[in-house]
Amino acid sequence: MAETVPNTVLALDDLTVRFHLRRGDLTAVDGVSFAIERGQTFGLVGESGSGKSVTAKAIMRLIPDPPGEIPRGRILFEGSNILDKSNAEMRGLRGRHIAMVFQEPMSALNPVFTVCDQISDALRTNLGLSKAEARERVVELLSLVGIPSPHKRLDSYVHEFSGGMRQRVMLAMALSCNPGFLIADEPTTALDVTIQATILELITGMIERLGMSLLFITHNLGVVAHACDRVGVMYASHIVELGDKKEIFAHPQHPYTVGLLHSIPRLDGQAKYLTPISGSVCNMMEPPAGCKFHPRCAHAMDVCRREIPKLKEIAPGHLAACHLHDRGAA
Amino acid sequence: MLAYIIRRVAYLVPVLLVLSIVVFTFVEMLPGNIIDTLVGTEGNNDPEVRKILEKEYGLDQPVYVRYAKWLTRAVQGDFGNSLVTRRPVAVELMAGIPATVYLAVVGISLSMLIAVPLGTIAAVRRNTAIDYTAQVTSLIGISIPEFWFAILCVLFFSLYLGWLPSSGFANPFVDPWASLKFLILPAAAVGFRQAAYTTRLTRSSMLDEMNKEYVDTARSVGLSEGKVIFKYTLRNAMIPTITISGLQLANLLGGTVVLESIFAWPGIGRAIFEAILQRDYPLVQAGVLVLGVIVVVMNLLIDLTYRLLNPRVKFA
Repeated sequence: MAETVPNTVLALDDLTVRFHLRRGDLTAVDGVSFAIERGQTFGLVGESGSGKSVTAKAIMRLIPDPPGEIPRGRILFEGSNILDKSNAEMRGLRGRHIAMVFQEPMSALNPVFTVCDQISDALRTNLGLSKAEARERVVELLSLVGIPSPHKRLDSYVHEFSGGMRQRVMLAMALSCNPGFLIADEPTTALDVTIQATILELITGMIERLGMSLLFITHNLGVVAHACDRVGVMYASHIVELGDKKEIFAHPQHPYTVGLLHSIPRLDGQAKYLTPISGSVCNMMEPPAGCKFHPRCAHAMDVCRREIPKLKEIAPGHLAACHLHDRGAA
Repeated sequence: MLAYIIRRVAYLVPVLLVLSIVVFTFVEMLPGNIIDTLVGTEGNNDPEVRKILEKEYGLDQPVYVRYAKWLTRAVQGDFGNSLVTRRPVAVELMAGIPATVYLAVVGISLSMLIAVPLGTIAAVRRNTAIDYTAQVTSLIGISIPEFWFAILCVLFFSLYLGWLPSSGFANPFVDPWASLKFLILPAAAVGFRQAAYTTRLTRSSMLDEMNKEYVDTARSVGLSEGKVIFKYTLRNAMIPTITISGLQLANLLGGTVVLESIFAWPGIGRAIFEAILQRDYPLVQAGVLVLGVIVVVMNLLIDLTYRLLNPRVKFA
């Protein structure tokens, strides 16, 4: 699948990322395929360690090799495979076509350079601006992301900003060279709850305004409900369910997705208690055979312990990887 | 900032006061005194003569009175006269300072020139031949004694190859070429050893920094790998390296007694070493005090430069 239609910005096809560690090999991303349409926001959801961030880094080609390796798969960006590109071609892509917002702005921004230094370096490298032009553009960018009196904050260091302001700076940096595609890796997780919604609004607002596409990575289904058009649910390096947001929220097909939905707190009082998913994420060094979720799954059958279920279309555009649906089909 | 500097300088006063007491009593506690030397050389052990001499040198007074007198004059730059040369101690010490500073600054610069690129490359090319070579060489540099390495250098380059003079000193402003030839071996001996430490430090702090997320951020906006490593990462990794190099410089300014002796380098370390051999106590007292002052002041300077390197440091 995932032959690129012109309207597809990014398509992952059977992407597999493996790390060769001293304790053994770890497959962090296993056969992941999904596509993101132009102007769409795609939410990649999963617990920590499920392989979401590694997927993002693979798209940016930031997987360190060694110990990382991409033994299989393609990452098609605007129709051409990122994994075949030279380092120079990749540098041309980064910043100008794909950019990334990281989870923790305090550690993702350089502590010993001013905000202006960091952002203008990207502008001067990618767009060939002069020092003065770059400085002017940084002021524009900072005011675009809602930093008050940007003239005064230009020469501040990261530690002089508050958490929310730091993430705004991070966003300004990612947007600086007008990329068409943005990856946001848990951009609100490290922030105060009160700021999370603001930053989320800011990101989705900017995406809409600039006509960008977005890969939004989060462990929070509530955020997905708010921000995304399409959703991929990851569990233990596999995509277990993929579909339109409304479909997934209304008719979740994979027991893991069902579990996730039950563990969202609701304000309308429909459920008095949250139902957590029992057990914990499997050890990725020694994943269980068959479906990775079966030790925690209430519906686990014999076949689940032997065979890894494949993603199958359950409704148009709605895919799930679960043996429960084989039974229905057979 | 200014208030901070003033306060830090004010803190130096009690530190230096304690240092002066330690220095004074230390020399005071050494067995024998000037009178022994004087009387000994003149072959005259008459107690009457001793008394007269003690009075003349003020040794009949209690220790605290002598300390107070010594300190009062020391503050004014008067440390008395050398017992050997009869010239003022301050003049003798000042004569040694330029040579010591010359060797220390060149040695540390050499060390940084070797260590920073080598440590960085070792970190970037971790677990390759370059890295192992750098690591083994710096391990050797740390492990072998400085004087032994210096003597080997002299043996090989001066006696065997005959390329460089084995010891001595020439004023760089008078005869730069000769001065350089004299400088090479001692500076190499200093630089190699210091570089051994700083290479390892630079390597490990580069490895630390390279794992941080801002490195990926810099890559993710399309900056070249050279810029990412040598501008964004190295600047962070240099914070510990510069701090340690500053402390090394402070130590070297305190006189590399052994190296200065091996290479007959007319620095402050050798002056103090010779003063100890000759029991020239006023010179020893003043010398140790001056070394203490240098180290304390260097530490202050390091703290102040720290702010330039690391904007997260606030002076409060």
